Amino acid sequence: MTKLFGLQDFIFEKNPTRMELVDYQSKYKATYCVTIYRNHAFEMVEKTIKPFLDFSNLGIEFIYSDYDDSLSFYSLDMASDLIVLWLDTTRYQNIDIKLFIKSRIQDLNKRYKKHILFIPFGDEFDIEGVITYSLQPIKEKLANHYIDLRMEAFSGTKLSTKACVEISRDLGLNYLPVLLKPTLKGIVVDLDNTLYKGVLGEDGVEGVLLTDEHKELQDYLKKLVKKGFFLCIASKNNKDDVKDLFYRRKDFPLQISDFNVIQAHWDSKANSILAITHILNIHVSSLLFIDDNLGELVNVMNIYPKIHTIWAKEDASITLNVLSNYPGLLKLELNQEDYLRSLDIRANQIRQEMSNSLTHEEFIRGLGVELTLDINPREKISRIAELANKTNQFIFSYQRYTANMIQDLMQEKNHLILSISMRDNLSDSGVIGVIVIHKDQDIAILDECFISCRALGRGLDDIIILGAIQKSLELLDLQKLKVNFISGERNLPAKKFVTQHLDKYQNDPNLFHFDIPFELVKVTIKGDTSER
Amino acid sequence: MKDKILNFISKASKHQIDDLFNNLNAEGLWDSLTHVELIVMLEEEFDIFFDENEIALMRTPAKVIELTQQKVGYK
Repeated sequence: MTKLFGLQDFIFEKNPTRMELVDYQSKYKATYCVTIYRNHAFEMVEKTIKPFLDFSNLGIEFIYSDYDDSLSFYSLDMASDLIVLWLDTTRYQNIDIKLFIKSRIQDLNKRYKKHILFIPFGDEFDIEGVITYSLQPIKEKLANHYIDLRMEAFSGTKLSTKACVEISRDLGLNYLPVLLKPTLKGIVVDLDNTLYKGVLGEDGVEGVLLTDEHKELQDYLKKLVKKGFFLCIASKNNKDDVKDLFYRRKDFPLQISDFNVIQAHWDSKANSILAITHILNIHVSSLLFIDDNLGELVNVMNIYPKIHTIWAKEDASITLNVLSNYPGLLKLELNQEDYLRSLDIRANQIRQEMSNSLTHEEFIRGLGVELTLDINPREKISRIAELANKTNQFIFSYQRYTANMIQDLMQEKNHLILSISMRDNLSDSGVIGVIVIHKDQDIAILDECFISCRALGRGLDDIIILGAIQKSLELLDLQKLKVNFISGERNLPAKKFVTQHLDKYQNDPNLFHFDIPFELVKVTIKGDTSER
Repeated sequence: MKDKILNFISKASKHQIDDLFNNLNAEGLWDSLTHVELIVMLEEEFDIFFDENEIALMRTPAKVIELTQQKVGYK
């Protein structure tokens, strides 16, 4: 059974040598293609990256450019899923390096619309249009062992082998997963011997021990909550005891209000996780489950093979090391939306209680829903890109737009990007959905529609989506609609919606009209409404 | 000592020890990246440090053995 977590132990406990990392045999076939555009060698990084990519369930083929100081980007493979710009900036002399790189990246941005990861060696940069990876933390950690000029003639880089291992670890566990795959949304934790040492039912509230390591683990989980991740409990304990624990143990960094869902009972943990996915309205593959009990982990993994798991260890510093490097938890840009999302999910519980005691119309009126449709909102590009890449269940055609792609679409004369923000009396949900539509003669083509799952299920789905489409058609001064839809592994909710409401627009364009019930919701349009 | 060093060369270069033994003075048995792996492995194992010139000289099994033994104190 422990073999299931063999890779976790290998990476986080065994402290493998460089040769063990090099000799590791990958389990995954390459399904992603990453181009390394470079002026010094990346191969020493690639040689040790395989176990880290396996831990991230990633198979990557690395394609190398020639060594090119001029950054001509000649014969670049535009189909690559990601470009890594791997530059030794100490090779440039007598030029304004920052200005040069900025102008070359601007040029690349025009041609390549997916993510670009810029890893400069030598100087620190802050350049728009790329995600910049700073080597400074590794430089500080390794000090004198950061560079190795003796080996440069053979390795092709000034970076030491130790630095290359650190980079491969960070890229493989943290950066490449979030740039290539949807991120995680929530963490489900066990309590006994996971968040503290001891068993609540046996040792009592005051008897369980918060070791320094467990305190650091709780501190880190609290940081993840602030970054917008859902935090939930799946514990075999009495719920009242669990609440009592968090109310009385003032030394615990985590408080009861930090948890979005508490499943504390004697039913199976698989059932707890099922309940959590229903309450949060997210797929189980977006959850990370942490438990010290291998049996519990295996039972859950058997029922939900796509759930992510960490085997919590007695030494909580190991658990923290795994958690702080767990693929899919890195936030490259923390924004206000993350905070709103966390507040919104708590309000959903109150909405649920309201919907149980009121008629549908009373419920909607009681919420006081306000929808704001922003036309081509430049200030929301990063949020739109984030939503485009993390939405899995309610997405029409998996366009997975990057920020650069969205920026370009906003400049296209016949295209319209409409972001949908929602607020009600209970919370401000921020941007919860996006419509991408374009005009083709007298037809409006709906290229993409994605809605955050936390906004769905309030009985407003048709008003939000059909209302936004109606407003888009009015803005484009069109009446005919055609909908692009691609069935995927997980977008069943979107498929059901399209079948129910938009089926006749899938194959051929048809006249579309939807009466927005303004007596129930307030709709505001913002942005340039001039004719397109 | 010699066998131990040959074993490291074998691990890094993926050549059988017998092949290496029969080609002690042959160059080109490993590429430049493998050369880096081999040097790092020997330095970590024996807690030694090669300078740039020594690293450039260690292109054959015999030279690797000779220079490593010198560093470790064997003649």
